[in-house]
Amino acid sequence: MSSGSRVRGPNSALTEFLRSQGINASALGRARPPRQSEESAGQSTGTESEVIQTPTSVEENNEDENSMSTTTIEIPVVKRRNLRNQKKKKKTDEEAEDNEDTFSMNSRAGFSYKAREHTGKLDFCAHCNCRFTITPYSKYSNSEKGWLCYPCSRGAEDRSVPELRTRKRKALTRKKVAAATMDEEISVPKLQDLCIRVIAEYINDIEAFGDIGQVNMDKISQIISKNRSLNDTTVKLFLSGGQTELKLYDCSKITADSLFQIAQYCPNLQTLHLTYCGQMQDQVLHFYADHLTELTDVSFQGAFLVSSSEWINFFKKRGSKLISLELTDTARIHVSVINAIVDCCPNLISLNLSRIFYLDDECVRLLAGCRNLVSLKIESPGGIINDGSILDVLNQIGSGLHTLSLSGCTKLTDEVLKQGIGPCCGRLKHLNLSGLELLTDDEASIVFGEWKIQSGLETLSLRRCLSLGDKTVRAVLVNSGHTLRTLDLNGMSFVTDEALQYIVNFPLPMLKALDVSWIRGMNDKLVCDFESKKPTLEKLLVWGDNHVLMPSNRLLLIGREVQ
Amino acid sequence: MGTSCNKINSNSNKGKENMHFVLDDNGDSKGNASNQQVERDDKLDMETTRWNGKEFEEPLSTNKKLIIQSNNTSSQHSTPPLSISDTSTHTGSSTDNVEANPNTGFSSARKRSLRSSNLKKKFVPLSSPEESNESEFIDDDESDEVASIIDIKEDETFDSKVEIPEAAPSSSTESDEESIPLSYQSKRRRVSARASSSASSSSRTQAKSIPSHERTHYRLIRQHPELEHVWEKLEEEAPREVKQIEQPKELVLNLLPFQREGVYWLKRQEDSSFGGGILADEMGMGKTIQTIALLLSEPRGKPTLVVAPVVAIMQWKEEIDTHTNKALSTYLYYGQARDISGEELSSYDVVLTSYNVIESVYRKERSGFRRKNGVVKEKSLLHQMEFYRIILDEAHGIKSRTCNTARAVCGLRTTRKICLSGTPLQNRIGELFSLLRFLRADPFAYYYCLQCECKSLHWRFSDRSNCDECGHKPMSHTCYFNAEMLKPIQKFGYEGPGKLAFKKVHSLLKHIMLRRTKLERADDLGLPPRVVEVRKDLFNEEEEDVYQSLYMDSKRKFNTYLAEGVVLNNYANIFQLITRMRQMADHPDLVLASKRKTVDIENQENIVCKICDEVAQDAIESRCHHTFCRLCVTEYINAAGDGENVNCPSCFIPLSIDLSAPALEDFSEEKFKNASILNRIDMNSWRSSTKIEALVEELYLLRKKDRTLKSIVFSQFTSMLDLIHWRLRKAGFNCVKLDGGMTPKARAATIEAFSNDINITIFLVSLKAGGVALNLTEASQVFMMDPWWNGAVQWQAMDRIHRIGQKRPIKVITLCIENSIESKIIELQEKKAQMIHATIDQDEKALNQLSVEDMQFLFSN
Repeated sequence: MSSGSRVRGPNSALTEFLRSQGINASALGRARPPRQSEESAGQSTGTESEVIQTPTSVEENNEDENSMSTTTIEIPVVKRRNLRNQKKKKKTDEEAEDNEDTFSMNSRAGFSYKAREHTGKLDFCAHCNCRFTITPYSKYSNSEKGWLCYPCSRGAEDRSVPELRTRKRKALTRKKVAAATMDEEISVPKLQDLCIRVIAEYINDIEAFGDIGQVNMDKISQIISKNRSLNDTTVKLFLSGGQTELKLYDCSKITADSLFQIAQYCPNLQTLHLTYCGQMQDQVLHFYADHLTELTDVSFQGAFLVSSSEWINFFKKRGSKLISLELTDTARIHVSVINAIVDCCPNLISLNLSRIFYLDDECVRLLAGCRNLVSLKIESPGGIINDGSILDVLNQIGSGLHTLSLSGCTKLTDEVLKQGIGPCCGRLKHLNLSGLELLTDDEASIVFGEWKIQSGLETLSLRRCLSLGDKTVRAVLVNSGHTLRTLDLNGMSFVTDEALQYIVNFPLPMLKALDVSWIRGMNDKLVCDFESKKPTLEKLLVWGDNHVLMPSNRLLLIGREVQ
Repeated sequence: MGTSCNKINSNSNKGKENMHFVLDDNGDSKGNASNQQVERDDKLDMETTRWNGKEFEEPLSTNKKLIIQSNNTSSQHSTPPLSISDTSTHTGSSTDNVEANPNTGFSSARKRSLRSSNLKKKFVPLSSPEESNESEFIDDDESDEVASIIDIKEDETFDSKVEIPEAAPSSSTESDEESIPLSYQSKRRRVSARASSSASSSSRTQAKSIPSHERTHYRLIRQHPELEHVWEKLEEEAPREVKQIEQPKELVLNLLPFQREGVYWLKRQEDSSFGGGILADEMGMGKTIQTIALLLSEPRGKPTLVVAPVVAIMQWKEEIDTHTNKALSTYLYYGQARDISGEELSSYDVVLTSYNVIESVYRKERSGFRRKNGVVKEKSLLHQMEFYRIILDEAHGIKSRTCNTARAVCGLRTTRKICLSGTPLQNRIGELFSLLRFLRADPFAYYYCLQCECKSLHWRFSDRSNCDECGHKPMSHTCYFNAEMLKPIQKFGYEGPGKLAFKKVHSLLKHIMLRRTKLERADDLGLPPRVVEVRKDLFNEEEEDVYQSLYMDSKRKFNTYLAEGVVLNNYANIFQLITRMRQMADHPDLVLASKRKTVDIENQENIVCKICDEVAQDAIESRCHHTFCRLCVTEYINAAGDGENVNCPSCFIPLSIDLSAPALEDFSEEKFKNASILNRIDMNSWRSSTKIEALVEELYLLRKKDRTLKSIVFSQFTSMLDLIHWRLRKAGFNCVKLDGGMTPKARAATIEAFSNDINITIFLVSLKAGGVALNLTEASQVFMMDPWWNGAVQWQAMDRIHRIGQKRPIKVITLCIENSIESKIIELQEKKAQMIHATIDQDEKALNQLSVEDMQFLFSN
């Protein structure tokens, strides 16, 4: 970030025009009086790129003023934006927005169309001398030191067409690579995995299979579920007498009869995970409650046919041994069921309730009775959950929690951070606050900044916490930078590239995955910086960051617009 | 006296104004008054009543006598009661004025009446002996109107005992007209008085308020006495007992309890006086299977005609075949080869056809097709036959009664008529009429003459001015549905007479429509819960810039229309403005490259290969009009091996392509217009949009190692689907596309490919083509790319996956750009949803349609 750089982002046509007339639009900002225009008019000489010299605002400190006043035009403008300039403009924009909330449409984002520089400006083509308007798609020619108009820029591209066949092959591989990137399968698969895939492919002949080791069973189960070929016939492969663990990932084709068989064939199950068991009925769960006496770890996802009374019955019979419980996607779990969970399952360590339609304050308050919880997930509840109930729970059991997810509880406010998570949760390692749109930057940054009772988070998701911004990011890094493994900043549009630059330079020794999607300030240069300065980083998500165009060599870069 | 002079002036002004209103009111009775006029009318009525109310307390017998006198002396004179009451309220304290004003008021009124006598407007002040100053005006435009008023009065005296109590509740609300409670009271008293006292009282003028809508009611009854007790009779009809039919033997699928009830209801309905009904179960509750059970029920008649949208025909055939074990023979009356004789057709149990076919054969019969050798007309086979039963699938397709399709369908002959629709009401109450018209619901769908006994199902005015049957003017004809239900609702909304009309709509629907919602029958259905979300994103800077310029432009245009008061005249233009903004929110190219190329033809190859998704090299075209690189398609065919059928990778019908054909040149202008948007823009330097990227991210999040989640993506714009398709395929997603231009065969093949091939996880569907009659329970996620204020269309689309057979939890995500018009559209949509609940779900809430205010809302900040 050299201070002498004249790199600027695109700008609106009007701003550019005014600028060439010596009037600085950002100084004119929505809420501030035009202070600098005369002064800058004196300085301008008419060419476009030196206008940068005009001070953007009075508040800027002296060193900025100094560095800027020395600028002259020699280096042609590069497409990437000048970070420093941009962030200043952002600042002014934000301030303006504070003053004037009525300026509607674009007020949510930190960026604005006012903050760009080149786009929309008239220029003369370096190649053919025609006058044209610069667009975001215009190309800059390094050889001719100037912008090119559209026809010329197409001609200027390297037109050497490779041989047809190789081009084709490239195109097809490109698609495969794109798909593999998203599945995160970049390396060559293991021979074992390949064999398992073959087995999965011929799953319909399962009778002919002999014994397969338990370890690989789960992998086969996953692949078969993915192929949607898990049905009444194939499920038998996974049922054997002595096994203690069964995980089926897509049970939508398994009828009630086969679900009965699970308990009949494997009475010793301790772990039972069933996903999408849309055909599970009351009788099935009743049967499980009577026969699967060893259960400790249970997950029923999407068992939406089972009624309240049957759930209660199940917890009364099996609750005392349960350690881990996950229930999702059902509209038939009411307060009474939650009550039964709290009363009958004293040993619960992990509880996950996602997309339960009638989960509201009343239900949540009850959860305070689960004294031994280490992991608590309340995600996308159907009812409205307010601060009060969550605070009650955290006050009771918050100190024991290692994992807390409040993803999608959209009505929660700063209070939860200030009075709940901050003071109560000293052992927290994994925190998920996705979709808490009401959190504010100031309060959140204070809480994270002063959160001394814990030793650092390993996982943090602030996904789509729309109003959080730079301050919070800094506070989070200062607080748990040394331990963070995964950081999700998806959709925080107020975060500027300044904060991104801060992340780049901050030592994050453990960081493996970072999601900076929809932070529009992200660009190719920052990707390069991440690549070089964060040796541990493996995965970087950049959805909607429209200035990230180049592929990355080392990182798993997901979400580029041009795959 | 100076003050009183002023008053006289103001009086006469009032009077003039009043005349205008009377005119307006007349216009309204003709059925073409605009809302504005109606409003003014109402306002005036309110004023009147306020004056009346004050006046009420004051002993102003002199005034009253005067009025009565004037009325008696010459019925051609119109006395403005307004002016009198006006003055009297102001001057009631001073007796001098009281004496003076009636005279002046009267004289001014006389002047006016002279001026307007040729218009034959009149105020007939009517006052009963007990009530002092009840006054209303009655107007009519017919020359024999004095007589008709007297007629009404006489009718009143004879049958008002039944009449008035029934009419009374209609006027018993506050907001509509404050006078009405008064008149209501007066009527009550009058009735009791009349019951006891002699006939002499009835010969006197009655204090009676007859607003225009009620007037029509009385006049209808005068000519058509049978209409009088329609509603009572409807109410009296025995409440439906709920029974279940036995499971038909031939039916493979087991019917759920409520479905058996439905079949029982359908059967009963066919035998009832209506000869049919509307089965309006929510989508995904098995309307088709209930209908098939009805087809199987005894006694069985031949043939049954099923009219369905093109998309659904194949599915109907398939479902009939699979669920009945081929117990019913079906014939597909569709496509080019339809040469079949009437007798042959009658031998089939079920004849399947589409709305388009019906419309086109009807048009050919009526107006003929223009061919080289003049106009060709041909008798329509379908319209000549007498069907045992006609079933309209997705019957809301004929929601506009004037469209040719609706006419063509109504022209079919049968005695049993069934309509199936998940959303019988989409925008306005009027849409019901079309269905009633098809059902020939007596008397609701009939036109009645107000002057004679003429009653007709058709609006027949061959010479455009006189009824073919009775010779009266169009004005004196009214539709029973309009008069009783539509007009009051339009005029009063959910207030006063509107409320009564709503009640009527409900009680009518109760008898001809069966609607069950998923919520009610959740236990029977075993449907998974559904999560509905709106994902909001923001434009990036470049997009926002383009959008802003378009928005400002559109807003300026709209404000111009608004300032000139020509919003409704420019409805189409405004609609286009809105559409453009919505397209811009999807992707700027939809607007920029909508008509023309954004690349120049010489330098650019624009043909995109459907296999490698690159600009095609040495492009050739298959018979199904998809383009490929010669190399790609050759490899593709070779890879399939010998003996296998090779299907087109794009539309999944058997591939037919000439590998040695000459390479395609650039598109001609003609062809270019119809070509996909991909051929109009430079795909080599194409950039994505916020919305598309948001979709790709959501789809990425659904990719899991251990399960496959399939999604459906709906958009209104096929170009948008083209862009998404290209982007997704580039990103390594396997997806297929369904749009309106596909043949039923290709459609069926595509749907099958999506349902069976686990690698194809995304189905791009155009809202218009795939919003109805698709069963896609393999998918469990829906993405709506562009919000639309007719929420019904979206629910239709979402319910493609939320139906019987769905075992996975459902999620519906609407993608919305927050700083664009779309966030407002979503708000509007919520308003509209309330209307629908208010009517069909019998939930009492306000009703809305896209009005000028709505549009203003869209263009406001």
